[in-house]
Amino acid sequence: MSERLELNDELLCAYMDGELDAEMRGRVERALVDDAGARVRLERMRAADERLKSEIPLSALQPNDALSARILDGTPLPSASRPPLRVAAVITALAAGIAGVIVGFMFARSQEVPATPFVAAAPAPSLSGASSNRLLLAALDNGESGKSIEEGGRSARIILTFESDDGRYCRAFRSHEAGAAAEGVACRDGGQWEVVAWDGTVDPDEGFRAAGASELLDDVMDRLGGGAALEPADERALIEQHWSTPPQ
Amino acid sequence: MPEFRRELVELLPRLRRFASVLTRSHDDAEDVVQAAVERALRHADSWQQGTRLDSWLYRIMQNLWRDELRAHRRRAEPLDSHADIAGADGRDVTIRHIQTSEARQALDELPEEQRMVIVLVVLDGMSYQETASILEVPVGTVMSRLARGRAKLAASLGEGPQRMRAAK
Repeated sequence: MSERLELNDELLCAYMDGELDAEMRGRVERALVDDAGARVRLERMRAADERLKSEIPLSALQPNDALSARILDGTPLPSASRPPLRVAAVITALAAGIAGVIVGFMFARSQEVPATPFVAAAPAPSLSGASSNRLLLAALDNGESGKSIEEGGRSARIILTFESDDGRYCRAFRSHEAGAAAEGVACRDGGQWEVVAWDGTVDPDEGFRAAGASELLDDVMDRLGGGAALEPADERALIEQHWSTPPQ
Repeated sequence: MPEFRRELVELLPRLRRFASVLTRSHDDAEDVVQAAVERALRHADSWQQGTRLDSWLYRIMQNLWRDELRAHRRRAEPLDSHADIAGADGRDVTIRHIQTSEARQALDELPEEQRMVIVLVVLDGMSYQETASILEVPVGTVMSRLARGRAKLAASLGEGPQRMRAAK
């Protein structure tokens, strides 16, 4: 005699979705006979599914769909309607020698953001001297948020720009190069950019970033504090002024 | 490349639905889809025929939306899901549907992690394994998120008229 089966919601969902093998499916069906509560839950979830399917249908592609026409005829896509995603074009990439995986931040959560890059297993990109990452530097100096700068097989893209609590302009960026991708934050200090955060765990194939890695970058930006992300016009003005205007 | 473009076009309805559930906004969804398509076209060479194009596009959209949320968060802008959705090109019909659908409202109230599992499993009909692969989480996580999300949806939608009255 088999043990009584507990019909929890996970099991009921797997039953609904056809994810159980024949034996387990039979056990669930036998258990349902004696479990009125589970039958009610199952029917309510099924009803909710049907509501979702009927009220959120798959819209048919219209013959005059502008985006599909552009995809098919190969004409460039227009800018998206609003600034943050207008950006969103190509993946970012970086200069040589930065294909590393970061292990973690070198500071405790309670500490201030340090002035040096937080890199454990691999060096952050250099932004000064002979070994500087010119592509990233160009993106930091002149790149508008969301637009990629590409060179060869590499690219760099600014995600957003903001002013930190200590009065520096900072830019979150993403880079991509030869199978390696990274994200970071650089802040302008003394007329130069300095990488203050570096995360090399980004999936270069556009997959989800590791949860911890994403949080690291967000955490750094939270710690840097400051104002809202700059609007495109303000950002362009700073670029034209070579970042010479001190933050207000 | 022509085949790649055709496949992209065929995917558009699903991409739009996925994006609308992800962003909870018609305009944001359109932006995310367009940006994802643009990115996919630029990197078409790296896509291998025979692999799932939809999974790749879904991941791109999630990454794009993550960047968008970061920018919004820094601007301290509320992500009002159904704000500024005026449409002069016929989209208002769809928008009105989004606004008035009780199921859509109940889905929008779920955390993103549960919405994503539900759109993939319930609306897209993907297997748990496929869903786990797209979201890069274990199958067990897919199961728990799905069960929690469905239970909440069932509770919300099961209340029906009472819920609607309470909202007035």
